Amino acid sequence: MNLLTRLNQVTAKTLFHTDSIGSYFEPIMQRIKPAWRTHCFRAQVLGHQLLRADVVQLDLSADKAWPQAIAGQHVLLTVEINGRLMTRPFSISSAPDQSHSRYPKKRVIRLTIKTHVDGAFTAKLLANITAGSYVNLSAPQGEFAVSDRIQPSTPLWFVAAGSGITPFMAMLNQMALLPQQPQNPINLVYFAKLGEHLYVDELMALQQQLNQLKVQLLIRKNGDNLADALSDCTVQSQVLVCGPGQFKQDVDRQLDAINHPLKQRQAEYFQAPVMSQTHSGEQHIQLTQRGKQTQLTLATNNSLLNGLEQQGISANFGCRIGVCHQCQCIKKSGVVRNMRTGEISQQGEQLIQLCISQAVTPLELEL
Amino acid sequence: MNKNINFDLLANELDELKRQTLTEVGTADAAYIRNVIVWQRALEWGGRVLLMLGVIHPLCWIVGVLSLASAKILDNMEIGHNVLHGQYDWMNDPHINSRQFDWDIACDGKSWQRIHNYEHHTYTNVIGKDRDFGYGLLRLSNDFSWRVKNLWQFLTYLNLSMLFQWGVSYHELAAERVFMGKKKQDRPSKIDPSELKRRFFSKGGKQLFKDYLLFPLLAGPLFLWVLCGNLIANLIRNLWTSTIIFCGHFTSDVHTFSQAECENETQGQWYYRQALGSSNILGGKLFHIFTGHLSFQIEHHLFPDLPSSRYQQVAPKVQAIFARHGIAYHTGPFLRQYSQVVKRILRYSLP
Repeated sequence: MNLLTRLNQVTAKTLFHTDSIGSYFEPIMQRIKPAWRTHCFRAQVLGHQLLRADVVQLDLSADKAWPQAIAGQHVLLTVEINGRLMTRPFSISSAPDQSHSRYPKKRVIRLTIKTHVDGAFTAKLLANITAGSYVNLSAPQGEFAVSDRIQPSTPLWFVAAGSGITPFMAMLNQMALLPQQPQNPINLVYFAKLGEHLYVDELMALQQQLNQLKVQLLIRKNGDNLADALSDCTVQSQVLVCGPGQFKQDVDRQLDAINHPLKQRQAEYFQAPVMSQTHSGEQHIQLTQRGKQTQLTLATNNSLLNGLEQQGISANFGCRIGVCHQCQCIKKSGVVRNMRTGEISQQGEQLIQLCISQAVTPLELEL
Repeated sequence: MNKNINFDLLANELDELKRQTLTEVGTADAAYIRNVIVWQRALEWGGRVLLMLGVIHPLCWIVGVLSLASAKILDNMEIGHNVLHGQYDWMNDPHINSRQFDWDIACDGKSWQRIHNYEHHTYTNVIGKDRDFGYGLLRLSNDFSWRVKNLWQFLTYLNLSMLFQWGVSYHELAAERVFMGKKKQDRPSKIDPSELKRRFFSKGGKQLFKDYLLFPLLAGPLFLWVLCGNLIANLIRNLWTSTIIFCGHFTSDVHTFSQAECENETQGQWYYRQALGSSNILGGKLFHIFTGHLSFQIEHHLFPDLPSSRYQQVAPKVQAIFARHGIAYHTGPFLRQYSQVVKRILRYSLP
């Protein structure tokens, strides 16, 4: 920790009882700069459009301080929805240096977001943002990117399903902007339902620009399958996969069949929360306690507090009836049920009370 | 306990009221607490600057003291008390939540959460369990036997009020018998006494340093003006918070309960005990904000983690539910409630 951070902390603790000077002044700063937050970057909503009934494209312009992303990375997008700050990860679907005719002279970050009718975040997103309003972004994160150490002879395979196309849009656009075209053969295998492929026009234009790019738009219902699509994939290829968890497994199986080495695969996949209990009525919990990580399996018909105690883990607690908030902890990910109200929680990070929460999905907890 | 009350129905109705109210909680409530915080910051810094401008005109100094005192009251009551109760945790705000928040008083927020949020709110007015009933200093009912020191307990009360933040800060250490007395065998300790001591001195020390050394020094030649101003602002805050809190629990009709009565209590019986263990104060909107909505002590005790911004709204509904079940709803104007508190302290100073 450098001296300045330390000084900030000591001053804030002594004078303001907060963890940083910024957090003390945050509510005032927000009056001047909406959505100003100490732990996030600000981004202005330039506009949004519906690409499909269930896909929104969000164009954002980030603060100058926001570190530029590498094509393929994602950000955590935080939006205040009905007074509650909600955060979800999204891949950036635009290239870092890409210019946009609609917003000249702006550094634009394009997010392509699949909405879910019952989603607590995506379904309410459009109602809570307007052009000109502000949202928050994390610094770009993730390792899902084409390494610049890749040999010009190595074939690249981009394998996407559904909204998994987003990071590849960033990568392909980035390649089109390079002063010299990449020499690698690039294969884009893109599965979606009939009529649901995104950015088709943009992909066709990219195919014109990038001599080495071969795009396959595939539909499973029409008989397209992974084996055919990947039939030219060799063991030398670098394969990047993005899509649902199940899709990633299917691709892995296909690659295993041709003995494609694991170290030449990169994947980013999303798993819908498994709302049903496992057969044994148990869930896996990853617990972080004072920096130490533990893996546990807890019965789902029990409160988390009871469950942890039965495993010999002592969590702070008080009333055990949901009144005193002593047993509060941070749920990093996963879904819990409030035993008093039956309410199902969000998936993302939030504070929960152990004594009245049950695991619905695997959880990551920090005590 | 009154056996004629249908406790299950009572519990259902109050649960439903809370559930219904929580569905309405949202943007307005988040904006409300942020707004109160902005006012608190403005009053605090306005006050500190005005204190130093006392050299121009003494009126600046007086307004400065009042402004700083108001800021401290808001921080303690409407912001601190309610945020530390977890009322605004749903906002997911990294700074406005019960895990992160600490307040501008001598008491470490975590210690207060253990004693107040847990002990007082779970065992409200259960003699022997809720140390807030008399704070171990005052005899306020026949549940305690009379001792000679109770003769002058009104003076004790005045002292406690003036030093209230230190009383709150010392509360857990007293309960744990950290410095004196014999440790109680049946009291489950959740924290190491040395850690308690460390936190007590660390938080208290920072408060003393800030108000009585740093800011006076920054004022240079006005050292004494600022020091006195800070002292008076703290005193006003202490007297105000103590008075409001006493009015919430020690008016004449407030009941006490024995530990035996509360064994295997149902949710309905718990609500009933909260109802009879608290009383409200009538007043205007601003008055309610400056009491941290503890003027709705009954509603606060029924629903301690409901955002304070909603207490005014649920109060008439709670009163209607109580009326249907024949449960008394203790409320009254400030002076009437306070005179009852004074009478109670005086009455029980005699055997």
